[in-house]
Amino acid sequence: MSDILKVENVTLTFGGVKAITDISFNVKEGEICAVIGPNGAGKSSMLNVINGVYLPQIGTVTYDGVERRSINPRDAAIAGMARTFQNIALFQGMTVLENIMTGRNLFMKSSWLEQGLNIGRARAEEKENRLAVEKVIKFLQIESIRKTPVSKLPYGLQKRVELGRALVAEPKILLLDEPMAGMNLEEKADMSCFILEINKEQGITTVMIEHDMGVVMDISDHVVVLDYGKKIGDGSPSEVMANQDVIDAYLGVSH
Amino acid sequence: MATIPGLVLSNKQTIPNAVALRYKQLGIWNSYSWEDYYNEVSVLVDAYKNLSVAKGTIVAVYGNNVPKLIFSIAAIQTLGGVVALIHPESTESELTTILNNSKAKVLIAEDQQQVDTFLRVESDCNLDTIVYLDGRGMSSYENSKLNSYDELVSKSKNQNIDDQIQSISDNDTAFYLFDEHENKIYKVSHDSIIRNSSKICDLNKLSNKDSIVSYLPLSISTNLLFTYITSLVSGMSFNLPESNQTIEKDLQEIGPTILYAPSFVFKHIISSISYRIESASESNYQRYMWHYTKLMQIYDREVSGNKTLLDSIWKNWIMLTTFAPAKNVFGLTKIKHAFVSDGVLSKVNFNFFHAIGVEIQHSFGQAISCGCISVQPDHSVSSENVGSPMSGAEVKISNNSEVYFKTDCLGEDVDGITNSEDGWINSGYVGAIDESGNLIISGRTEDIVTLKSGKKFSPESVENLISCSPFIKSTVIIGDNQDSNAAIVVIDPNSVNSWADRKNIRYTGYAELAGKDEVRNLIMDHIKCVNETLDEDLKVKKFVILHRTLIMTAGEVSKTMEVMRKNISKNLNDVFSAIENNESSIKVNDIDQLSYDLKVNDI
Repeated sequence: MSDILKVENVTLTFGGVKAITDISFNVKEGEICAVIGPNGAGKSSMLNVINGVYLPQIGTVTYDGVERRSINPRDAAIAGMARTFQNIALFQGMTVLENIMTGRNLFMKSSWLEQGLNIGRARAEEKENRLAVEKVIKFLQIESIRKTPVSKLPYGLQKRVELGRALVAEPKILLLDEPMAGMNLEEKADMSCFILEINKEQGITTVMIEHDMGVVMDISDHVVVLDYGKKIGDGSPSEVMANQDVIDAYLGVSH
Repeated sequence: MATIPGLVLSNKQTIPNAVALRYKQLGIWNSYSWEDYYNEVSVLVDAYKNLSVAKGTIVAVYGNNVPKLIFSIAAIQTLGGVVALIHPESTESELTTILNNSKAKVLIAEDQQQVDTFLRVESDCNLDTIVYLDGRGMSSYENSKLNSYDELVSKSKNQNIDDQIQSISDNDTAFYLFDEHENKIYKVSHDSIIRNSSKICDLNKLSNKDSIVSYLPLSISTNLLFTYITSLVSGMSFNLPESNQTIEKDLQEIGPTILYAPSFVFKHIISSISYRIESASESNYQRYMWHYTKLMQIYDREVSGNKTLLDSIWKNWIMLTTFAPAKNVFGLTKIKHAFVSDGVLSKVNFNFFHAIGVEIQHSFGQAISCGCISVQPDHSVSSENVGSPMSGAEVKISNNSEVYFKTDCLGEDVDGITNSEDGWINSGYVGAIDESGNLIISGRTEDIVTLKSGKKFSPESVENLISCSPFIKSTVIIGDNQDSNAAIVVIDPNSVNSWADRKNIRYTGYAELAGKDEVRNLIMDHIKCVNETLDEDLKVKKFVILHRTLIMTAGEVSKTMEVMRKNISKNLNDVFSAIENNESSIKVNDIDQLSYDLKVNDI
């Protein structure tokens, strides 16, 4: 299968601090790619480079055949990239339904005036978008909390709502930043099932940052390991597990 | 009389535009009129004919209530097939038993959960075809027996099925119903179950203006009778919730006029109210408590006929400010009849529902009696009995208190074995008949406990009293060959959680909460109260608070949440032997392979 995403020689620095040093890796279309590494390894920065939040000093990102050094996050979304965040970034006072609806923003062509007065194109659009949202609500099995404000939900469900918001954007590639952080076993199992189904049944390529090794080794097709901003491993889960550098980075090594 | 597809046809002819079925999907209530219902069935008749369902074919229907399953029932029966209903949470062994004993050839499964359960036992069963309704998660399955429902339907066409419907006979078998207490399957004909339902409709004057919500699987025979069959007979709308998690909200939106539920659901409503009240603000909490006490006092005077004008004014005020909103939350505002089966409510809970205007009517019936032989009339105020036998049914009590019955709506054992003596069927329950001819059920015959003193009693009667507390989910009495009774108590996670929050008690999970001294005292106080109402030899002298709830998939509770003693004593063997040997603490190695320390508390 062809590569949907190519990261080539990316270096990102903040002042004198090198967050990412000369990293290259490819993501094939339709795979689940996990980016792992200890804290501060540069994983979230990598994701931010991919969808254009950060501008790398050196290197390019080729997405969907177009090579560029940076992309505006909105253009990234239009091009079919959707993401979730490490620290939940939902509108806490809004309901689950409203939050997920914001993910349909790109599909709304009507003007604010039409939307405000619920006339013209806005009405038909609202119906169409609501249907897309409802399908995702059903898929994620959160019907019972549809009208609940997000702030009242437990952490695991908020993560699920965030995934829902990314999904309604109908992405080609899904970037998940620690989708299972802070979850209990049962919630992790649910989340893994959702990610697998999104990938296998809807064919959406997934790049995910995750700390839980069990989950990573079980569900991903491809693992990239970062440490201190450098890539130290790249390959299938079993290859990566056998890699001495990776073992050293995770278990520690006497210097 | 009629058949089930026949009722669909006659409703289509008489009330074509009335709402037959409502189902919430993607957040919207979708309605099917009787005409739509007929059309859906007619497409399915073609679909199932292509799967070679024909006269006498046994089709197992395995899932929750979704329209596709509901329409399938009538379609299979139109072709002369028999529907064997299986609970979606059935264990593998139960599934194998039902499939093999019923000799089913086709299985209609709701989704991946059911298909997976079946695939684990596939080699033990002799099935030709499996139809799944929801293919989610199954795209990689390669089993030639699997068929997608949607694909089947897309290849089928709408046709006139009137003649086919006319050709089935009233006495054909309509359903195979499984009785999990007896582990037996009963054949039920169209005629018997429809006639039984007509009796209920006539007694309670149900019409097509009514509506009912069916949120339990139809494999529960009482549920099948009271919701599905009754909606066909009376023409009332049959409403299905969006998912098992949204039942409360969906009930509130529909506001049904008829409610059917096994007793555990009403118990659940009580504990949900208590859970909300415990987490309410102090002023609301005090107001609720005060209104509750006042309301119950007024109700007592109302029943004894001493209600004053002031009482009426007070009651209206209390209802308006406190209980009408509470009723609305649970969708009870418009309820005219609330039928209860599989156990009776305790006096306190029964009176509470009557006081707020939800007229509970206890009923008694099993799979063999097509779901019902007796039901309490409207406005009955006794919580103990289950009503007098309906027309065509008779009840007698044998010398050792066993309940025998006769009914003209009788099922037949699928193996042809009956436990009847001169037409009298042993119900498997013990009970009595009171002076006004009402049947009182005290419990299952096999559960009878004999204390060392020789005293025999039904443990359900004591368990019911203990479980009436909103903080207790279920109770198991141990007393066989003992000096006195001991109880295993399972706390209700929701209401005890919010009670603990209110009292500032810290805990991490269910097991720790159950082990807290404060919780033990809460339960102890309640059992002491119950003991005051019991005879000296029945008093509960010891209890253990269990570290987990009882598990349905391990067979510890029935599908209607009745305790299944045999399996519990097997799974909790350590607890049983510790109590019987008078030990003061127990180390339990449980089915989750962890071990827990439990304390035996003396009262």
